[in-house]
Amino acid sequence: MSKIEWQVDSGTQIVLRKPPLLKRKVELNGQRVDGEWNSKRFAFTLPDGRSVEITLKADAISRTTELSLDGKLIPDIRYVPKDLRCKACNAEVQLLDEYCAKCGHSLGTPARFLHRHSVQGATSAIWLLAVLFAIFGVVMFFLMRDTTQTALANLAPFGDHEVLQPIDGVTYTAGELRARVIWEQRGVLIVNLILAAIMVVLAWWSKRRALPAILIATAVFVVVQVTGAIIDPTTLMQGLVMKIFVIAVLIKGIKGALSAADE
Amino acid sequence: MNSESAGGQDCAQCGVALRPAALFCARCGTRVSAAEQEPQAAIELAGPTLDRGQELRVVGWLYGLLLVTSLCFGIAYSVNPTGDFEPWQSLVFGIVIFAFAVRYRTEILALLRPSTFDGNARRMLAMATVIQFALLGAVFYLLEQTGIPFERITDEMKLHDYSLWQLLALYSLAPAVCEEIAFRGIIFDRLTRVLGEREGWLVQAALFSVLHLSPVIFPTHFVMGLIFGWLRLRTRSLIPGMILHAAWNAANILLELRG
Repeated sequence: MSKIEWQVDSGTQIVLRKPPLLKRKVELNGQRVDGEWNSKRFAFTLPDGRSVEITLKADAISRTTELSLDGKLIPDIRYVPKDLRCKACNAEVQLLDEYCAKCGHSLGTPARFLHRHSVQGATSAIWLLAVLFAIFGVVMFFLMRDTTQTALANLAPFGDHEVLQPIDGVTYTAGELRARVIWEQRGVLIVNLILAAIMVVLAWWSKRRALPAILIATAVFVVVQVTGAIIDPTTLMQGLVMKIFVIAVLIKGIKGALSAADE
Repeated sequence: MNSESAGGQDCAQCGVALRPAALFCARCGTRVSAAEQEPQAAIELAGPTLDRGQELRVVGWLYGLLLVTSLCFGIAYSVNPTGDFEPWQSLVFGIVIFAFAVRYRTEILALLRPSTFDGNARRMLAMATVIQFALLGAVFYLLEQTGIPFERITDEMKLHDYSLWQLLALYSLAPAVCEEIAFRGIIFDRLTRVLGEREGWLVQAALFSVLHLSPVIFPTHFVMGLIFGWLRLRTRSLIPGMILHAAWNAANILLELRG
């Protein structure tokens, strides 16, 4: 049975239960709430007059269940720290507080915890990309060793200044082509290590300034895919699901960072 | 409203019940002891509203269209490596950027006014030129010494029989004008509004460098983007950046031709 729980304030707990093969059930402080689901929406009113709406949503990477209270998005308990405190004066605050009652410091809307979660997801994706670029570079370096050796063996009979047949309309000397063959192997390693280093720097930066870091990471990732597709168009479809997933996580991170900045 | 609310006192500004011993309203931020003061929330909401998402969408559209153009022509090159696609690619880039420049003509025209290229702008341009040619010239020289094979623009010249003037127009003038309008004009302005001046400057340089589609030159082109962006910031004009950009590209072509 899946269960999502919202602790709106110390006296209001809302739970959505989905027992296997049975209808969804909404509970307010342990009591079942009567009502009908209308196009994946369930609306009801709290005893104090506040209106609640539960909405089931799905996007490219996940299914989410949102609860809004008087139009304000409320995160479920997975995203909210147990002990909520004001950053400025360390006084205890509640989820719905937008200002600290003790020092007046602006806290933002409750949705800030969801935005933070999206940003953390994007930061994790950037770390993952850093690791994947580094591993890919090292693996490709060793996989290309045999091809490089064969190509160099084929070029061995030619002197450095000997002019070879044109390749794709461009004329090379044997020396130039030898340098290119050697670079092909080293280049894959160097390029991927540069990309990994860029991602490490961006992941580190995203902890301090999430939006610019995630923007650059998204651009770098997309451009690397485009560059790969230009070199070999078949790579565009390779690992397509993974690519879409990474881009979706990064875009969600941008949206989260934007919303956090707006607050 | 809230289970922990004090029964007696309500906020004078928003009417929400106040917490026991609260000095501020937790809903609107109004000071309890001085309700007649300007409420904090009202002060914070008073600034001009900015749709950051919309600003970023403009950046995304322009950048995405330039990237798709690169992808299409890149694939065309890989299918037909001897094809003469460069003028067409420049034309499509130009059309895309021109369309955006027309859409945001007020701000772009303000950055292109000849009066912006004053004595201060000329001094900044001279300083940036010395830095760019000394610093990046040295870096590219060192990179070449390591044996990294760079694409030679002059190969295109030989392959398609371009004259020097055609080469300079295609690889020096067109990129300088188009890229400066796109990156230091439209993109930089929007990023500055969303992220602030310093981060907008960094991000436009990063976007500029990665659009050149070669990870080996990401760092050097990032520095170039920073220099062009610095010129744009200090002079409030696109003209010095265009001149330096065109001069750098032209110098590279002429150096290649010298062998």
